[in-house]
Amino acid sequence: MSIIRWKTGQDLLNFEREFKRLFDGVIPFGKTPNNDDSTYENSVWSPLTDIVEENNQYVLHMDLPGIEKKDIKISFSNGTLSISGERQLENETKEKNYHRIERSYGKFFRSFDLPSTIKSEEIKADFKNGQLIISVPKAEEVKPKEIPISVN
Amino acid sequence: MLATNKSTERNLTTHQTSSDVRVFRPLTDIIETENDYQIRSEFPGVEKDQVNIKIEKNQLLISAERKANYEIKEEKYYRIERSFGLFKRTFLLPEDSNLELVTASFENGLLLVTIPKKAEVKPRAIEIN
Repeated sequence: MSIIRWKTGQDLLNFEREFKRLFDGVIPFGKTPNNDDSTYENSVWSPLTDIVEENNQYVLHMDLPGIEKKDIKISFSNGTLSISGERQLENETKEKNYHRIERSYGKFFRSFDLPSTIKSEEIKADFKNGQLIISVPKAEEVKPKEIPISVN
Repeated sequence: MLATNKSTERNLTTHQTSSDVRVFRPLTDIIETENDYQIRSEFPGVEKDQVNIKIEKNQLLISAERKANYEIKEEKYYRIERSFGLFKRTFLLPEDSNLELVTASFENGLLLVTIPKKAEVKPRAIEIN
């Protein structure tokens, strides 16, 4: 048996993830982390996300305050939308006293299973004021249609 | 130097506001360097001109109203994890804060308030003759 480095809190974090996965698998927009994905394994925090359905599209709103646009990676493959990146604590090595650290630092990762009835080539993302907005247009066939009925 | 200065730690703690309205506290880091105190608070999705910073006596008050950028209709949502409403927090500033020279910047939803220390209380090395 080999010796594996034990990461503080990792067991608890993994447990939480596995628990969520049990339930996320059965609902739309659930998280489906791939076990082979090293981005997922090494991430330490998950950004808060709202997912709203509009008539023509699904919209994901994600809070990423204090992160540069260039540090956010968004990818879509096999029906899964993944958002990842990293927030660094400090670059300087100056002497500092930390009175309070409430914000999360390090690698973040989140992924969502998208419905199959979307136009994946038209997914758009916009980042402003630390808020990431990803719009996922619906495919034509699932858009609600109004059928006018003429009354005699 | 790595140990926290107990007196400033006490000073920099936040106090609770006794209000009936649901008020959220923005997540905040407080960092002390040799020359200043830095308060970094998260206000994602808020415009720069919606963030209010006030200094009263030795108290720093930061606040912003965060409105949802979408409407919830017919319960058509899958996840709502974020909070909307008033975000507010008060900090008691340490005695050596130079309140005249407080500066603030806001970028990518992160507010950074820098409070310089008064010059006379900066640590000074004394040589032995």
